[in-house]
Amino acid sequence: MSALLEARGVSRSYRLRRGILGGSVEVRAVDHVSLTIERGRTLGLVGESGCGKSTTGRLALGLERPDSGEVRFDGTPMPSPNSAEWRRSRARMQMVFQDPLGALDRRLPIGAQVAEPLEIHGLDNARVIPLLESVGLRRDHAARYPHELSGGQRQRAVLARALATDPAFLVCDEPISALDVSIQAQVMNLLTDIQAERGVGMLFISHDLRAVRQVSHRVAVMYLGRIVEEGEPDAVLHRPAHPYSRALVSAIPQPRRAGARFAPRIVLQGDPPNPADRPSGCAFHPRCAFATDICRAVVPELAPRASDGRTVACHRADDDLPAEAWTTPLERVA
Amino acid sequence: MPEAPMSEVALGAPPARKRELPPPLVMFGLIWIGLMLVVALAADLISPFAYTALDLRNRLSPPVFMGGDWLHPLGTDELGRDVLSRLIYSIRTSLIIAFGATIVGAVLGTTLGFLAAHFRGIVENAVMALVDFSASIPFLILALAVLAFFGNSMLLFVLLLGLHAWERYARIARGLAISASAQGYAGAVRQLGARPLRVYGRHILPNIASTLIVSMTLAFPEVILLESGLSFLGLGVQPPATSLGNMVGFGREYLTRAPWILLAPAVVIVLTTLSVSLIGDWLRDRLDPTLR
Repeated sequence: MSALLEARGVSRSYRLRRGILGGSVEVRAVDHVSLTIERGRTLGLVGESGCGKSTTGRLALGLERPDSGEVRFDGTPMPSPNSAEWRRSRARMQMVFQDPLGALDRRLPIGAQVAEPLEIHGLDNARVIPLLESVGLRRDHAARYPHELSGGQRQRAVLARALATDPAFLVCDEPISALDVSIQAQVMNLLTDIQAERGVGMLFISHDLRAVRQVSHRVAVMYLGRIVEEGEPDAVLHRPAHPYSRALVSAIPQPRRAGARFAPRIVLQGDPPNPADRPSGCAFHPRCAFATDICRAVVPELAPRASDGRTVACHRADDDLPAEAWTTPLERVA
Repeated sequence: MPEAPMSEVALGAPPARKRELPPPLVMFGLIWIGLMLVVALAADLISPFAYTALDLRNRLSPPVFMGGDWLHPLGTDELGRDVLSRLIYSIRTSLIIAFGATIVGAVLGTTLGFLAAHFRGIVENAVMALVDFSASIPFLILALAVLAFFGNSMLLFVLLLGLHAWERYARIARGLAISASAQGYAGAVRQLGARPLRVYGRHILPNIASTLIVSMTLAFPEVILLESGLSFLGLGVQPPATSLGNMVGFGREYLTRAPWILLAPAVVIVLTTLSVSLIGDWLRDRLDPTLR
C-alpha cells in the first residue's frame, strides 16, 4: 500500500522585488523537500520562523503548485489548484489554521460555517451537531458567532469544519501557537484522539518542540527551506544529530532539578539567515561550530548516517561532535 | 425575590435586544426616506397641479408662511408654476437618478473589483488602468462629452452618473477581497473546495458590505449634487422636466426676490442626503454582528 501523501524533491520559490528600481531576487522558500506521511500517522515539522514550514504545508495540501518536484496524494498526482478536480479533492484533505479567528467568517454563526464543507461537497447537513460535539463544543455553540467564543473553542470550531467531510489528511499549521498554554494541551489531546478514532494522516507544523514530540510519529527539522534531519521524535529530540537540531533542542526550557546535570543552552551566533541570500554549501555553516571547508563548498544531502541510520543532512554527521565545542564560537549560557 | 427576576432578565436579554427600536435620528431618517419614496411613487395622485401648469396671474406668489394663500402652499415661480407640484415631481426624478446611479456605480465597481482580485494578472492590470483613467478625468468633462454626443435620456443620464464613483468601489472591493483571500476566512473557505461564486457571494461580499454601504452613502449626496450641477449647466434634466437640482439652478436667479423657489428643493436635498447618511451609519453597525 502506497503512502497517504508523498512529496518528492519539491521546490517553491518566490520573486521578491528589492526597492523601487532594484531587480527582483528569487527567494527559495522550499528547496528539494521530500516527505512521506502514512495513514493514521503524524509527521511533525519543526524549524524557526521563515524556514519554509508553512509553504511546505501549503504544497503538501496542493494549495500551491511546486516549481519542481511532485506531490502525490494516495498514489495520484495532486490536481492543479482551483480546478474542478482540485475542489473535489478538498473533501479528503483539510487544513487547521494558526489563527482561528482569522480563518472563520465573523459574520456567520459557527453552525453555518461547519455545515459549509458539507454543502459544498453535497453531503448530509445533519452531521453538524455530532461534529461539534465530537470536538468538545456544545449544541448551542452552533448559533454563536466566532467572536463570542474563546480561543480554544474557535480552534475546535475550525477543527470541526476541517473534519466535516471526514478527510484522510490534515495539515495543522501551528494549530496551538495562538492559544493559551492550558488550552494548547486540550487541543493537542483532541488532535491525537481524532487521529486514533478516524485514522487521519497529519502534517503537524510547529515551532514548539514539545508539542511536536507529543503528537508526532516522525519528526523533520527544517532549516532555510531544506529538511536537515528526520527520524523518530524521541531520537531526534533527545539525541539530535544535526548541529542545528542540537541548538533547537537545547532551547527547550527545562525545569532544573537539584543534582540533575544542567544541559548547556546553545546560543547560535550570527543572524538568522536571509533566504534571498543563501550561504554557499551547507546553509547552516555560518552559524555552525563544526563547519569545515567542505561545509562551505558542498551542499550536504539528506542521507542515513553510518552509525545508527538517522537521516541527516550534514557533512560531519558521522563524526563524534563534542558538546563542548559549542563554547566557541557559540557561548554557553548557564 | 431578587433571584428569580435576575435569572429571567439574564435569559431574556438576547431576544429583547433584537426588537430594540433604532435611535431617534435614524427613525427620522427612515421616516423621511419613506416619505420621499411615497411622494415619488404617488406623485401623480398627490400633486395639486401639473408641474408644467402656468398660473400667470400668480407669478412669484409667496408660500403660505410668508403671506401667500393656500392655492399655492409653497408659492409659485417666475412663470406661475406651483412650487409644491414641481417639488413633488422633482423628488421623483432625483430619487430615480440618485438611487439608480448609486446602485449602478456600486454594482459595476464591486464586480470589476472582484474580477480583478480573482483573476489577478492581466485582468487586474486592465481594471486598475480603467480605475486610474476614470479617476484622472474630470468627470464633468466626460459627462459633457457623452451628453453632447449621445443626447439626453433618463437611462443614459443614470448610467453616466453611475460611472461617477465606480472606481472607489472597485478599489475597495479589490483590496479587501485580496486581503481576505490571502490569509483570512476567504482563503479558508476556498480550500474547503468552494467555488469562487460562493466565496465572493456568501463570504467576501457580506464582510465588506459595511465599507461599501458607507461608500454608497457618501456617493449618494454627491450624485444628487452632480445632477444639480449638470442640470444647471443645461446638460442634465431638460426643461420642462424638473429635478431638485434643476429647480435649485433656475431658482438661483430669483434668490433675492423669491427665495422659496430655491429653498424648498434645497431643504429636500439636505434632509434626504442627511437621512441616507444616518441610515447608512446605522446599517453598518447593524450588519456587523461583532458590534451588536
